[in-house]
Amino acid sequence: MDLPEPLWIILAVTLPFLCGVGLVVTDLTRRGALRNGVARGVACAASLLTGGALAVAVISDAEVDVEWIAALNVRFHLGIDDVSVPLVFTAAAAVFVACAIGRPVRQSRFPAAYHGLILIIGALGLTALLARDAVLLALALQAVVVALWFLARAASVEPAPDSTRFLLLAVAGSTLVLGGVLTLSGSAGTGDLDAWASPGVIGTGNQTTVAALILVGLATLIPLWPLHTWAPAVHAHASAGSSVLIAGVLATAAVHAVIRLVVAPLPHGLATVAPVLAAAAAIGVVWAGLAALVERDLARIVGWISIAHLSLIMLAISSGSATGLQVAILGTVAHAAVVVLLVVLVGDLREQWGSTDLATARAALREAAPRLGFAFVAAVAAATAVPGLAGFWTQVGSISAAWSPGPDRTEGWFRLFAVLAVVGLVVLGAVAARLMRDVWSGDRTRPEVVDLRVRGPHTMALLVPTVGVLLLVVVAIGVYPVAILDFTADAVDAIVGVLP
Amino acid sequence: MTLDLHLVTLAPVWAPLLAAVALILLTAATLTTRGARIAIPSLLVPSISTIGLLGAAAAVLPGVLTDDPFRGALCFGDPSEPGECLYGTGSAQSTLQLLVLLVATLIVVFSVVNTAHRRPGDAAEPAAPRSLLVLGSRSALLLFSTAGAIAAIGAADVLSLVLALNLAVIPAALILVTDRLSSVPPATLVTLAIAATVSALGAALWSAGAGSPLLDLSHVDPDAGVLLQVGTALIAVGAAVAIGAAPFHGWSLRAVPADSPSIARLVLVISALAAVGVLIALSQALAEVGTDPLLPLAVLALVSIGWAGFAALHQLDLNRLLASSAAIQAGWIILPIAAVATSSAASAVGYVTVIVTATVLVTVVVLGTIGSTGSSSLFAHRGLLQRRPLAAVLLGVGLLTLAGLPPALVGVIARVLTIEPLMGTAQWWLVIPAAGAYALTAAVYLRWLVVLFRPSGEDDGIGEGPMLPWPHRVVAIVCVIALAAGSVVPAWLW
Repeated sequence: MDLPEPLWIILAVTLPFLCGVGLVVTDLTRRGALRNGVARGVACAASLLTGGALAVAVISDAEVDVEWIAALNVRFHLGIDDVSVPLVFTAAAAVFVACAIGRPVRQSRFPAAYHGLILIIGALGLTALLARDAVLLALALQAVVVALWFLARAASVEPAPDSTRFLLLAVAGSTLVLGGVLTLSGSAGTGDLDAWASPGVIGTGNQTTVAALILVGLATLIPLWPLHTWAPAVHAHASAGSSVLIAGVLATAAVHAVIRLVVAPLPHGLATVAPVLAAAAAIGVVWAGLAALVERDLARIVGWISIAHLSLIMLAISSGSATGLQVAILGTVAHAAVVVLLVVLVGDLREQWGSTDLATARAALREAAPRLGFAFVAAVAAATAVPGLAGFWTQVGSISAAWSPGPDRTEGWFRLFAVLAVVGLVVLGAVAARLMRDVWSGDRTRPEVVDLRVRGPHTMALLVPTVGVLLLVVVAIGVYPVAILDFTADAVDAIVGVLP
Repeated sequence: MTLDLHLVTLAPVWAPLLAAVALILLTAATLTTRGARIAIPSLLVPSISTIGLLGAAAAVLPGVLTDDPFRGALCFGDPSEPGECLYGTGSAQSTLQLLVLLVATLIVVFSVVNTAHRRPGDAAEPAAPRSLLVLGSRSALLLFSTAGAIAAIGAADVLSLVLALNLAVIPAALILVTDRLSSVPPATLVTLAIAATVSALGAALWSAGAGSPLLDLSHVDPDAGVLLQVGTALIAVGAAVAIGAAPFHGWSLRAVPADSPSIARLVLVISALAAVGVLIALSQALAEVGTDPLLPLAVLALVSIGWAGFAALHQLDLNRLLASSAAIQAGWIILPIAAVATSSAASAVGYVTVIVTATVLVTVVVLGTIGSTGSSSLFAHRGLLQRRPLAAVLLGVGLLTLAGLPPALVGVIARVLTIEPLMGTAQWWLVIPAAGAYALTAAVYLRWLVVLFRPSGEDDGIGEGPMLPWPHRVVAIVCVIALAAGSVVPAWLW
């Protein structure tokens, strides 16, 4: 029996949401009814089914468009195009990884609720990525932020005073985005993103103000210097699953929102604020690198690496060229793969070490856990501009896009920003060397570290296949980025075609 | 000129009034020697109250379910013409009246359930004369307040409007203070007396300026605008006191007993709904003469949010937090009313419905926890998510709705609808404070929400029994279901 095409896209967002709600309610009303293994299995199955539904939705070009909030002229409009396909699957994969690696060992209560929250965040993130209505996108993004705070707060491995800062900053940012979207929706007479992308629908009068408003709001979510302060702390205190969702869902959805809400509909506004955006991005790369160089906590270093990569993505977007936009999309996928891999590995190390403080003497992974060490080295290399790995194309491509910006950009300034970004990359290389020295190399074999083998009672029993697949993805993107670049080329050309 | 009563249309007003009179007579009878020998079932008082409220609800429901533009009573002419009647309701007004009746019914039901809970084996025992005196008089005051609120919402002339508003507010305040007759805060009664005087003066000025007390201004001479505007402002001040907007909210802060977890504090919602009806009526009337009340009401709203919000950020007592929350939400309620001139009253009523539901949810959960722990400190909620997850989730949904944050989407939609008219005016000096007010409101409730996650102390005084008594739990779950339904299908509200 053929199912209606819209059903697949509806299924892709409602299935994880309903499963997540079911897990949360089960744990809250009948505490201990579901063991951790069962809850994790259910969550993984739900995320895999979600991926399947997404695949069918992409193949069948599914779309759903119904009236939702008549008073605000908001429609529940979901659809997929070539720009959102790689990002949607990135988010879906991140959700699966977050479910697969499980909750922290020390988090012994509410295992089902933990996995349920992951699914709910995934559903909301997918809604933001599939939304074709601007207000729906903004609302979904705000919902992701609040739900992520719940997960980060409730499942933190250490006391997390900075999670409140994350919540306030992110809520303020998402509110600014919502305000900008409502203003645009009022002036355009519609919230439809396809209509917004058409030339002439949105006048040039308010573009700069609204573009600045939305970009400041999204800068808190990406995060971008100087609104990045919450990220390293949250990565340090939150569980590995929370960090995976921050890198794979929140950041992906935020970059996607930049493309949909600013790049496509506000070309004049973006052209005006692009130098400021590029400057913040370039400074962010250097700042993150320097901070990571002196940081003592390995989890915070991962947060800084994430900030550096996302800053490069924003530098590429600000360049205003088709190359920049394509690099941004590729870079978002690469960022998710690299940072998620780092988070998974560092999360495992935290479970075994008891903390992520690099000042404490540890066993060298090269000696004590060679497979784990190999994965760690590959992840760190991918985070720097090593050819053949995913991070290379983000970094080189962003600098190339900044060096040759679009026709409406001041070439001199952007070349300066490109040079600044190169300096940042050099610093990132030093960070990689430091990590290799502190974590991988050396002769110490105590305290003992369990290597990447099948682990019986360990909660991260799916670690090996997860790490293996992530390594494959990192290599695949590094070796064959054309797959994503060609896929998004036409859609990017259509967006760039309306740029001034 | 004849006056047609249309008693069926007026039923929502006279049904609770009749019940109140019956209760007064019953109470008076028990004071006599003969009455003291009569065994009166303790459930008689709430039964009479419930009959009055259900009768009123039955009369209100057709107005809620249909789209009748106007149904009038006390009419000089056609009952479908607003300018011909002294009382009339459309679907928006009927919805507000239904909310009033639901809240009043909730208070009555809780009074029954709490009585049964305290003496489970004696539910059928006749009540002692003195307790019946108190119960009967409080129930009568509740019914008077309910009748006043319903009348204020449906009033079509300023004199009835002001009289009904004060009938809604003063009995509500008396209900709260009768628990502690030895220490009635005089400032509360003085404030309400002044507000009543001011609003009465406003009504007089309105009548002088408009040439008639009717709210229909279609025939008013525009040159008489000054008296009309001053009169409106004075009536609005009275309504602001009733709704508990800052800086007029002190009386409600002092009226609520600090250490008593009584559900009767919900009676303040009744007086607030009456004030909402008054403000909607004033805004709609002014729109007819081209006067836009957006700016002054918006300023009042933002002042209320800011004043109460900053106070709430330092508040550590749950009762006072509830009171501050009410003042914050009063500000948010006034904002969409300010835009009634440009949009429909239904939008404002939809928002009010959401806020009332969320306020009831938070109030019953908080009062339930105070009753269980014996502590009204905010720190009694510390670690609630770990200790009593259901209570924490229920409270969390209410707080997120009041904060206007997802996943309580209905709260987000409601909050966006309050700001949207301001965005349309492009008056940035109003929009930016409104955005700041949004963040401040979120901060107040998120601060509270964060406490739920913090680890509790070793000796937190929590027993092994359920945190929430079952009546509170049932009401809270019903409220959450209603809010969830509003999130999924907002078209039911807007």
